[in-house]
Amino acid sequence: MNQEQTNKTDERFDKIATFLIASVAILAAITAFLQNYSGNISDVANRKAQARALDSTTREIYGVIQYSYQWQGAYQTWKEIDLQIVAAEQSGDTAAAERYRKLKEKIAALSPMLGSEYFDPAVDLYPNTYKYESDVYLVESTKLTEEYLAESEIGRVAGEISDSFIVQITLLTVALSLYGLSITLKGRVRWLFVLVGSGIVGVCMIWMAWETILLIVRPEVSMPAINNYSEGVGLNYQGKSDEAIAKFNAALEEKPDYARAVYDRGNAYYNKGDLERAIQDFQSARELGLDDVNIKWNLAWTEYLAGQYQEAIQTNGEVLSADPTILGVRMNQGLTYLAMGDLTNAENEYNLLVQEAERQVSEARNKNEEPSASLWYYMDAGTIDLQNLIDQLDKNPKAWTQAPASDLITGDKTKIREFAYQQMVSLKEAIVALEYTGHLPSTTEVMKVEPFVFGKITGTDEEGFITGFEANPSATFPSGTTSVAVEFTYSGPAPQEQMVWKVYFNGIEDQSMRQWETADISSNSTWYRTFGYDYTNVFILGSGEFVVELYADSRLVQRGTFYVENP
Amino acid sequence: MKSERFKSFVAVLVAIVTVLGALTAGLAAQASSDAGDEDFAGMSAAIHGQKADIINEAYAYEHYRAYTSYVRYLELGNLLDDPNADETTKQSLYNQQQEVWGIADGIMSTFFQARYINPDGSYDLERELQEARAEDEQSNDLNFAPYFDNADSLRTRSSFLIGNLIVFAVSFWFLTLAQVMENRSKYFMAAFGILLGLAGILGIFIGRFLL
Repeated sequence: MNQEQTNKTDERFDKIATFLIASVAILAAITAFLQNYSGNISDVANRKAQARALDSTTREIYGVIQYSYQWQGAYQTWKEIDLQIVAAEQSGDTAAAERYRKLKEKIAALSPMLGSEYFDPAVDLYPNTYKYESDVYLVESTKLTEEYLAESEIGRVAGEISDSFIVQITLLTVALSLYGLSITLKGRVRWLFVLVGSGIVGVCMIWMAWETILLIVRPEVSMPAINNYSEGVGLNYQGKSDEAIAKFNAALEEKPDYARAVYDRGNAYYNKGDLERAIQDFQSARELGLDDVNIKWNLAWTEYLAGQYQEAIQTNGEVLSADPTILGVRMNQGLTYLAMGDLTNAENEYNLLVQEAERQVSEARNKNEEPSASLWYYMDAGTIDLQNLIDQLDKNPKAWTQAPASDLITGDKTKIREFAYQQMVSLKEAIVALEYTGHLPSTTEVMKVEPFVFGKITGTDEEGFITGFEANPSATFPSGTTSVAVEFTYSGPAPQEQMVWKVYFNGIEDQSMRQWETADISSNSTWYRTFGYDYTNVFILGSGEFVVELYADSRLVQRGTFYVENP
Repeated sequence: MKSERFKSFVAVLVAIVTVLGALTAGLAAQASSDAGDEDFAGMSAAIHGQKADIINEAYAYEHYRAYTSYVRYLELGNLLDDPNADETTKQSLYNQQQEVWGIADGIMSTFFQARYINPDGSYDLERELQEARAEDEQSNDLNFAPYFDNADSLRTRSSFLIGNLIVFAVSFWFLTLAQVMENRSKYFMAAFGILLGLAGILGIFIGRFLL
């Protein structure tokens, strides 16, 4: 090839390279436009998300402020006057009772929550606070939260697309530099530069087309779905499960992959007692990407109630492997092993639970802080769950019992019951000991208490000592009873540190009746303790089951049950 | 020689288009940055506004709670008037009336402002909230909407200017072709390039001053 031919070839190559450079410049400009466009979508969506989050929080705070006034401003005042009416009637002061009635009407007029939409004093003991809260802020704040989440998702998707366009622009710059360098080179190697540069441009073109498609089909805020979902949340909060399910279904028709609607529909099915459909929905919500601790916790609990123990153990295990300090889940794990008759694993779980609780209390006390109240809350809940399991094993479920049906409990039921009772006692003792002393109960000998005798105090002397007690062998008292006395007789050493009395009314501790004392009782072996409202003419004991527990130096030494009949 | 002059002319045009493209990109970046600043300012105003509203709401309901107590004692005092009672009871009721009206007055003078009580005796909560908001607006910018509107128009400007960059890129492409071609078509290419360049300049003016 002569010089002239070489020059011509070079000239042609330069023209091709120049043409390619100019073409890539157009592609780069288009990519820059798309990057800017998707970046703007992302920025606007993120801004809207921030604004909705702010609005949602504010709406909820407004609602709580308003509700706080309605409950503790208006209703408390109304209730106080209502109690004054009762007291006036008990004293025979009808004029005062009439005055208070008129006054009560004046106060009711100040509060929408005391209006007929939420409260009928002739029928209801309390205003329908769930409906009021739902109407005032819950539905609205849920809607705003959902908008925030939807806008955040748009912002995230558009932001990722925008980022990918930036990478493409960078790659196009590399291609441009390869084309530019090829002009300075001679021979075949310059074609290699053009080839590699063109390859990069080709990849960028395909990538740009793909990201543009993603930008066009990006997620949108589906307001009909959000509105239906929010109304469903409000209805579920009011306990209207069927209506809530209908709303969640409507939301899912609009947006079939709406994970929170599926999850909350599961909660509504759970509230209805339809455990199988609740489990299905919880699992579907997980598959749709909502897979946090809360959903796993609820799923495992529902699986436990439905007798799907292996599944519950696996789900609890997923939570505990990520965070072994979650006491509530640890407790549920122990309970599940227990219900399936695996006492060895159940004991392991309960031991781990008590160790973890002690660690958390020690850690807090070492920092001169109080342990988190959630500790007592979860441990108390654990004892209630064990009591519920025992009630099922005894074929004596109560209205509030939450445990697998008796025929779903597998293994040696006598051993399970014995183990459950021991664990319940251990837990109860640990709770009292940790709460009052900060360490687990000692193993020293404590007093032995004979079964409680329930009855009425019939006489006291001038110093206040009890001189008469009338036992009620059936431990069942008529409606209108204001108080019940417990006679307890003990042997062995008197308590060294403290005695704690707890009273459970229909399965839940009535903390207003809790009594704690450090008095020396060694001077006598039989003592009395009264629970109720003898000090006022306004209250009577509610109808139902009362379980009384006595702890001496944090050890549960006796528990007994009495009943108050329905009116 | 003629061809060389044309090439030089086109090279100058390519350089001008390149500079204009860079200018467009700079203006777009500036608009985008300003939009971010406006968003920030808008969000700050929104936060100030929400904070002020929450505080005002809390105070207003605190006052409304006091007003509820006021009504309780005021109305109780009214109800303590019994013309049919005997003299001893009347005196006792009168004493109670004096006491509860005193409490009502004490609550009103200390815990809420009497001017929010309407002529019919009800409490104008909305008026108290609006007055508090007006007071806050004197010391803080609480209106976020203009900032967000401005941010949106700046983003539109930014997108338009970046779109205008494509016009300059196509102009650059035509001028480059005019540069490398040898036949008469090069004049058409140069003409297209110049036209697109002019359109791009018009785009800069629209983007910068009309959007």
